[in-house]
Amino acid sequence: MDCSDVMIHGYADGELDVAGVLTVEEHLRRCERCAREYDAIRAVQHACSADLLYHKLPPGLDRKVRAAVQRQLGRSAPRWTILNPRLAAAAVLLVAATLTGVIVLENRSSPDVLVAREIVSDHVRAMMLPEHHFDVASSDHHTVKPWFNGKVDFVPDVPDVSAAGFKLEGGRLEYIDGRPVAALMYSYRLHMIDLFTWPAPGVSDTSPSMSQRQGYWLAHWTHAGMTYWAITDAGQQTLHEFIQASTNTR
Amino acid sequence: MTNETQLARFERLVMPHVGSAYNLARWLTGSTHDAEDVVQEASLRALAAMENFRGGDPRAWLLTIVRNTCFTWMRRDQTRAAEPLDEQAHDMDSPALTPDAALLQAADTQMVRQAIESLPMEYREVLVLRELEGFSYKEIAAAAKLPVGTVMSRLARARHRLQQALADKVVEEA
Repeated sequence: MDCSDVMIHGYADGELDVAGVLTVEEHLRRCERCAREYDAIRAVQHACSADLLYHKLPPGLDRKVRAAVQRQLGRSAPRWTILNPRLAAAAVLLVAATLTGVIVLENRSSPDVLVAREIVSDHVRAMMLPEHHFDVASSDHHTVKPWFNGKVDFVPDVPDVSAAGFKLEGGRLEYIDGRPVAALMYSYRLHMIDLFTWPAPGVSDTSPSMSQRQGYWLAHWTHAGMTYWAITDAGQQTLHEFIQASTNTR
Repeated sequence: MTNETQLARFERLVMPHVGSAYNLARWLTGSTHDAEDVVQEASLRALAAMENFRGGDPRAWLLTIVRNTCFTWMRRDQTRAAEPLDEQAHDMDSPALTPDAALLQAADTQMVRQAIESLPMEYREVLVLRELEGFSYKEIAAAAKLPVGTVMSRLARARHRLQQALADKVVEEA
């Protein structure tokens, strides 16, 4: 390979296929200039990952957005609002919430981004060394589940998703969002999926919302008072199948 | 799905990503006030476009609307209208020698912030989408309506400029 900036950036961004990765790695071993470029890219990536650079949602903006949307819906479909009692009821609740300043609906915006970053860091750190993968190694959920007893103040749900091809590898204790949480590691072919869970009392159920960070796919949802985060390098489709399988076991 | 009210659908598709929308708008407009206005306008655009949303990643969809709203917003404000980016002219920007990684690591958050803010909007856009929002090249290409090749070269140039700006700042402070 000739010196190619774009290839080095693609490599640093995890955008190359296996052949591309091997070509670049081979080149980086020989070419001092490109190795220097690669180090500089990593330094810039690291500098940009500082939490302080992420502009957090100003307080009240989510409320303003909801209010603007309600005004718009009121303008464009006044008759429909009257004809649809459920929408009318929801609107009344929302207006009441806005007036009293109580946000009934969960605000999942900026705190979630921070948690997502923690999840990615935890997962990456765990993947760096095999001995970090788990504190308890077992494919038996009857072994993994009781292991958390006395380590966290809740009973984690350890879904058995082996039928869908996801093998339980073990569990470990993590510290996320200022509290101890349970992390369960599943394997799928050559990929790993980490499932983090902790209690979210009073938070209503949400369907999984997916996002991508640093090439990993993440999903976040809430079910029965527990919050769940799943992360994998296996891609969006696999993650989707994993979530489907784990919710089906309930 | 048919029974889902527009309000409920908006809560599900848009509200979880308002934080990302604000971050992008704040970086692109450079002002808290403008970013708040852009987020509200983009949310209304998203509301109107919701029926055309056919699956996929709602965050990427919303951020595409946000960046389009930002560009319209900046164009409307003639005093701040940026000169169109001449990609070729910026070829000269690539430093002859890449700054040393150790030098770049010495930059503090404030320097990084200023360095990103000093980039032309088109460079800032790809950089923020990639580094802060974790977008893939494909997602950036779709959001900015650019070929993937242009995204790659733009991102490389954006990083070169950032490296240079950071190195200058670190040397200046020392």
